[in-house]
Amino acid sequence: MSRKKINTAKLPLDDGEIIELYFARDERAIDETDIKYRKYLFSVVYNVLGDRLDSEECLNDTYLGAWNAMPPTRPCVLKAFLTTLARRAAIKRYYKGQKKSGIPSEMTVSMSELEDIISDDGDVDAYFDAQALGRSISNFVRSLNERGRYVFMSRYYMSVRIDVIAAELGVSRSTVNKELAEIRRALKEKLESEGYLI
Amino acid sequence: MKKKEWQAGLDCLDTDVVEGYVLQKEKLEAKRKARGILLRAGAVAACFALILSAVVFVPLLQKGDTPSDTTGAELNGDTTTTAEEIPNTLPQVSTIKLGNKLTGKQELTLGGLDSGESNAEMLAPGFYIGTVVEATVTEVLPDEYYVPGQGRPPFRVAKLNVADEIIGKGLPQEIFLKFPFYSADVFDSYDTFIFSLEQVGVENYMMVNENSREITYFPHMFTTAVITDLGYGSVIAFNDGKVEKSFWSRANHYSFVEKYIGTALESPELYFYPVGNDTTIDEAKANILKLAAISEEENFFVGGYSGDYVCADDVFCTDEARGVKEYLAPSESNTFVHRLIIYSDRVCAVYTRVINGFVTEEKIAFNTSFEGEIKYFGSSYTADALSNAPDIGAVIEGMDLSEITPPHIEITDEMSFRHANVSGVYRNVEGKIYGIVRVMWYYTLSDIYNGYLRDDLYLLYDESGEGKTVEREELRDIIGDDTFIARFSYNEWLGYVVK
Repeated sequence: MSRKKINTAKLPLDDGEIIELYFARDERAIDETDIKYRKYLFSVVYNVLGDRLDSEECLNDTYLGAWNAMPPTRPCVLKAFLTTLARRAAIKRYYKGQKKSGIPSEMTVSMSELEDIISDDGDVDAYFDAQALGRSISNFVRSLNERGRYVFMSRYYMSVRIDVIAAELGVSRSTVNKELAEIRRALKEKLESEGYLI
Repeated sequence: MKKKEWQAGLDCLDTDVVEGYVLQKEKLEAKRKARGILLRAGAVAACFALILSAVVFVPLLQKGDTPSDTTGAELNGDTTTTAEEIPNTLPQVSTIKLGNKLTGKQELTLGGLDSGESNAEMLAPGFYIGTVVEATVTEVLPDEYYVPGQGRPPFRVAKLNVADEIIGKGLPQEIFLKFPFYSADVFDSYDTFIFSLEQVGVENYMMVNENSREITYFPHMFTTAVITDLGYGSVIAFNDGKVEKSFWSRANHYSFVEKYIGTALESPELYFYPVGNDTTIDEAKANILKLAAISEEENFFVGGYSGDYVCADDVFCTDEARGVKEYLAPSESNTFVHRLIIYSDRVCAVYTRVINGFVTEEKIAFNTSFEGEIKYFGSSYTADALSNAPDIGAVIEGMDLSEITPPHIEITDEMSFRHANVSGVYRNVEGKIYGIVRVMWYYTLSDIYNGYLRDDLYLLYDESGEGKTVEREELRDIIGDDTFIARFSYNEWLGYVVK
């Protein structure tokens, strides 16, 4: 006699409910975040680090970051907030473990495409103002059309593989490559005009 | 640009850009899923149609009849209405005027034992060495406010009467303090406070939306945030002239703070802490001055880290820099705000010119690591030009946003007004000063979309004080491709359908 299968998968909570758990300092907040966003966040950090173990540790850093940030922060879009935290944690770890040789992560590859704009790693310039650059890049992203925005953010913010972006948009890989080349040209122009590439 | 700089820049992307991307991604995923479901449903429907045709239509056809037409669902008509038809959804915005504008006339000093002549006498990252005041709360505004797009918790605003300036000078008698909503009870429970403030008196106006209690600052508005440089007790609360409580404003968990402060209150000498239990207000003031003197003498920043302490001599370390310091001195309606970027081996101080409380494009950066090298950004403003600058603060103060409607978008009855904001900047084009005011509207369609629709309007004022409405292109022709000019497309939703 066959048993009836029962679906025991837990339905994820709404973002608002998860945020409330953080504000109530209830540790279930992290479990619920993990249930709902683990797969997505893992892909975010893996694209940067290219290493499964590092990515796992980075996810923990992300959850801890969320726990420390909420409260007081009450994000409007939780997923975007977690994306920022995860990416930040991954970049930190990326530079920490940079001397490890191995297969380059997708972020390393995507940065190499920007060689006309960014140079090798050295000390950060004393005049460098990350927030001002962030605003400039934000304005640049806003100036792109909807697809351009998606392509730029996917490739250079999230370090998503080009074939994955192409599949998501339902276009060919070469179409994405062409759009990226056009975006890079415009970005270079913009950054040059604002004195970032002198 | 270095790779690390590029990544740091990406890390500082505006929240709405990241949110836009995440929403766009979800929209694409939803589309793909729907396409998958449609394909599967299509395959099932095709099979079903084959069976149905075999069972029903074939016999019917054999009889020579055709099935009667069925009427499909009616398409939705155009439901758009004009703005005039739905006056209740229009902005209802009031202005709360907060204190005075930042002008050279105020001679605001950011801290230090010796009251300096300019804003630049003593510096620290984020202005951490602040003004210390004794103040009483005259009113706590009843509402909670949000700053749109920042993902921050709501805050409250308290009006304070300054009884004494312990460190620093030049404050208005009445100052406004922004604090997290969860600290609200603090301000109801005590009669006197000693605060250390990051910066005061530079705020201008808050635009308050009556519907959603959202607030937009003008870009130059600095908060009067309470900071931690009185030791770990940036808010010391008194009742009946004696210390009763101490709060650490940056703490997330009050239980932890109270425990920590409890220890500090019991043994203040161990913690460089200016007050213990039952310290009087006068004793507290004397102790704060003593601690500040130690910090001055030993280059030690009380309650922080030694590396945080930077004084004017560190920045103006060459003859050239000292010469430029004169240029930075405040004058009528004009001053420079500054901030520091601290590195382990150097300091970079960036000064931005502010006219009538509104930022300009002019910046001067001092770098202590390359023999005091100085870099200039943007156009410089002559004294003559400054005296002719139009007063856009007065323009904004006189605006009634409820009488201005978004000029480019069509407002439908499904849309609800979220908030509007006003901001202003000055630009110098070939020696001519323009004041530019931007109004921005945000509408949501929350039941159907997760996202918003925006519109903008620009008012351009020249030296004659005459203002006119300009479109983006016209403005670009005059001031160039400026970042102040928004780039979003009209009638394009930033968001996705959730139903």
